[in-house]
Amino acid sequence: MKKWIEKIQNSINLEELEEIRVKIFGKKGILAQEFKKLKNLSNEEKPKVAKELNELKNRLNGLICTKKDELQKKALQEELIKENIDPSLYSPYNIKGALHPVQDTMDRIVEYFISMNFSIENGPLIEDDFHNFEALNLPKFHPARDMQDTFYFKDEMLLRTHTSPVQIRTMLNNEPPIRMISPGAVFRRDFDLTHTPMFHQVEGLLVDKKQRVSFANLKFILSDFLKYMFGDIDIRYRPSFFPFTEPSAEVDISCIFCKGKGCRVCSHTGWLEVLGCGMVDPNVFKAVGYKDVSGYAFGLGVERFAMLIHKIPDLRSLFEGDLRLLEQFR
Amino acid sequence: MIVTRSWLQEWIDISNIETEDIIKKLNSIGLEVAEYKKIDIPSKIVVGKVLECEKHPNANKLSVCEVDIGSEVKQIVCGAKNVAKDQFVPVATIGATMPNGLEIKPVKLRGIDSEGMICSSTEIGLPKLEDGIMVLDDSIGELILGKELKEYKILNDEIIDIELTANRGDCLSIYGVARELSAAFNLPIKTINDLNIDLNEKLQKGIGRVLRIKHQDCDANLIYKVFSYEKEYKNPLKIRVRLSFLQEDFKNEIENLAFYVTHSVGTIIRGYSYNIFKNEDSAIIEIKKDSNNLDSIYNINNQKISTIGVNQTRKSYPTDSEEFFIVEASYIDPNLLSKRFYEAKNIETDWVYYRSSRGSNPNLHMGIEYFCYLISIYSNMDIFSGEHEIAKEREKKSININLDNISKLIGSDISSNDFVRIIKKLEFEIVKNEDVNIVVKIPPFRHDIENEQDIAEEYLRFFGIDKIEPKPFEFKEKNRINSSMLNFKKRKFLRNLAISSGFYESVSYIFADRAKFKKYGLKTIKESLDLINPITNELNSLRTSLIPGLLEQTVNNIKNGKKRVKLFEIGTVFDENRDEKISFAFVFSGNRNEDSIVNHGKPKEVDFEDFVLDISSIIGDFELKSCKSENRLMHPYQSANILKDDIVLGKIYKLHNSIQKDLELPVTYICELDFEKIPYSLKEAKEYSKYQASYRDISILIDNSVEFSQIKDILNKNLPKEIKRFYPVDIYMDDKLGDKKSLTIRFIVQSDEKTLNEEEISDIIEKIINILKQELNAELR
Repeated sequence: MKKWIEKIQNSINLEELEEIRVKIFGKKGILAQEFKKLKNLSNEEKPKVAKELNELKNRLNGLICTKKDELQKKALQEELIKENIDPSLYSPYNIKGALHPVQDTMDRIVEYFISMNFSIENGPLIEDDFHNFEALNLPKFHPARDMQDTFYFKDEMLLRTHTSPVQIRTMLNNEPPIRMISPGAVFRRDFDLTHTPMFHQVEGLLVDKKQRVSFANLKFILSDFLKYMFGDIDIRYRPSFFPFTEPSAEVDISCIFCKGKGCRVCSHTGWLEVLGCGMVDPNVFKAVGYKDVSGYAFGLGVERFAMLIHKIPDLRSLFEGDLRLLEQFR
Repeated sequence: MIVTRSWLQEWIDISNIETEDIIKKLNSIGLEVAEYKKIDIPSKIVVGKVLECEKHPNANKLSVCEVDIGSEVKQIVCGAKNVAKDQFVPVATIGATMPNGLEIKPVKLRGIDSEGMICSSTEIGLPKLEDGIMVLDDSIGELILGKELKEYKILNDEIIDIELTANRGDCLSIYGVARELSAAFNLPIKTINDLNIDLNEKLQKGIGRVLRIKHQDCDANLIYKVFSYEKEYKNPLKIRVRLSFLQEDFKNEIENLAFYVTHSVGTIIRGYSYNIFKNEDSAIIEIKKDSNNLDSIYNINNQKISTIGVNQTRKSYPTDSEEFFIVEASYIDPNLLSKRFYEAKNIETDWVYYRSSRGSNPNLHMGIEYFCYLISIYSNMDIFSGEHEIAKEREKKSININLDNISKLIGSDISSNDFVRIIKKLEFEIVKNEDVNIVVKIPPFRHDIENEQDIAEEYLRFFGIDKIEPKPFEFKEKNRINSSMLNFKKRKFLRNLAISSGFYESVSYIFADRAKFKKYGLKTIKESLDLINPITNELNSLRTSLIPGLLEQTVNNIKNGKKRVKLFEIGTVFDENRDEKISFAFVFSGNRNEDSIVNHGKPKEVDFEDFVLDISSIIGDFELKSCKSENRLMHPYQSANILKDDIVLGKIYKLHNSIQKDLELPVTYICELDFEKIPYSLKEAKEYSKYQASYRDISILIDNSVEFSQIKDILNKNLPKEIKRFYPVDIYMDDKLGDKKSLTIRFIVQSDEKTLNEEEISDIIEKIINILKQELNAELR
């Protein structure tokens, strides 16, 4: 009997164990043979031997079950081990693409103003003189209207030089109150290290009846917006000049690179110029036939924002589709 | 506009104000400081006097000088041609360190001891003034031998470059900026009278003897004055140094002096040759309109010599070979000038136009007097008494102001006293001041002030925008969702899907190379609608497709060593009539995957299916129908229309092999869609069957020329309603089949009412087989 116990314990896989089980418990197995022998025994001996045989049967059965369990576990373990891989071989690379930093920055800007209940307005890229200049208090002989700055077409149309004509179109098509932004591409005839013939602006306009709109309102929204875009920064307003606003101001933020201490990016001034704004000039309202209204307007260059936020050194690189740059925004 | 500290000091006493504070103040009142620079002449460079100057015995080009530097006389060898006895010169003494790092030590030059160096302007850190050494004069202050040059403020000046906005012609002079600072710091400003000019001993006979003026109706204000010319007159060092800070040198001393006066006080001053106007023993200037209706001056031969506020012929500059020269002060209304100039077009201009068109100082006497003053103290020239003046009366504009309006505009209450104080400092005249109603007269040099809001800005500049407390605007709620907003959302949605499919977003110029588009067989906008003034030939038209731009970027990326380029762009394109449309385009070039462990570093190239799956994961299900190639970019046998609900959204194709080869690209696939046509709307749920679906495959033999889309169309026409969907799963062609192909189509059979039994399914499939046989001549395999 010892031999069988050893055999069970030494079996190395489930197949061998099954063979042993059949040899022990099968119809012709050793146990069956032993039980057959019972009938040859005397009645006194019978119960005793039968009891012994039953105990043996239980014991062998127990051993087999335990062994089977053990072998099953071992087999599963081996299966799992076989499936072992080195996950670090599979670190994915370049599966997802990326949004363009300029478009992404524009989205962020637009989303801020949507949340402040501004509408989005779009306009054509090809404009006429009235919407792009005349209505914005830029008469034909104005010094800011140098022929060199504007792309003209043979039929006297032009590529818009700013998103401001959308203000004019929106005012002509709607009654006040107006609360809008206009994001999009604009064009100037300038091509060097810091200028590209196409770039993007976001323009904002708020107009309401009577004298409800003030410079203090303009400061409120711009300060909030700039903190949303750049984080914890100081903001400074400098008086400036735009033909379509009066009073006008340029808005600076404390340099985000040197925290206002002065560095190369801010030309050692500690400040970065980020947008222009002002109260809408009465001549603009006159051009669209609005009476007894007030309003503010502002405009910003999206590339400037994107370059500052993402620390992109070269403006022109933004229009080259160069994956060495774009991949970094994955 | 460049100002310097010492130059400002001549008109306003800023000696108690730090330059840093001046810069801050300028910024805060809207005069943006673009650059600041200080000249620092190093120590131990002193005033010296050349007592003796003789040729070096062993060197032709050197001189040996005895130079008095106050405490002692030094022997210095000098290489400059212009060194001469009795000159006052800057001397770098032993121990001085020059701005370039050179340390001055005693040396022997060709055997002669030299104890120091006589310096040129650039050697001590100033701009270049002349060839050779710098000769000092007392225009910079009393010359004391041995006094360090760093003590002379006119040389060690602080230079502030102001970026003026187009409306502020009044600040195109030192005096104009000083006036702003006087208002900002509440300091008095000097006037021309404070200079106590006394010209008596310089004055000669009357101007009438030498110059006459003929004029018709004239829009400009003019003054003419005549001077006798001093041979070899040279402007004093102070003027030359300051002009060098402005980087101006007209190579003509009178012209330089005229420019200096203009820059100092803002009045346009020009100098003219006398002889060019000469007529017998006098001279005549004739002022009349030229063909552009601009006031111009002519000589007796009816030659145009200059146009007021615009230009002057070069040959009319004064020269010291003549006995006399003429000086002119002019003012013309900048708006009038700009208008006429615009109408005339293409007129050459010199420095005067910029200043005149932005508004120069209308106070002509101030300019003329200051010119005479400088002549009287720096030259021996005589001045003819009297002057010819053409004066046009100009009435001062007045503007009515309501202080409440201004308070509301600014969003902060303003006090009448504050307002009046600031406005007066800017030389605005208060005509009436009752409660909140104020009437203001505008000074003539502020042509930019036209209305109440302009005045509000003047107040705000000095009050300080930073002092305004931000206040939220109160508004009525309004639904602001419009088509632009929905477009913004759609764009963002699709762009995000595109990047999830591995595409990189690109932005490129809307400009196009007309020739390149033609070469590719793409549409171009009509010639008659094209750009007049493109910036370069490669950007001389507008794009009608995004593809050439994306391809160019792909080429550059491949050149940069990328093996796989996936780009997309959403941007405006134009049709022949230049109408705008938004296009959504993709390029996939090179390997389908990055090199990886999975593909053993040898990924396959992208194929049609890969690309179609990518596009589908962005815009959803669509149908493809092969289409003819429409241009030279499209592969003739791998081009298809993308359809959704029978609407063509755009095209998908393989880049034509010949272009691919030309551009040295790997296999490249392209897709361009009409952004507007891509559906973006809410989906509606339909009822769906709850019974079991079965799959059945049918294999047929069919003519090679029959496209699956044709089979699809025919089946769709009379499809049993139990067929929920069918799609191709296998295609097989070989020589044995000849001009036939074997196609296996899988059908999903499902009833909305019950679970179908085998017999019912067979009936349905039988129907389909009959359709295929009858309509398409297909054989069952």
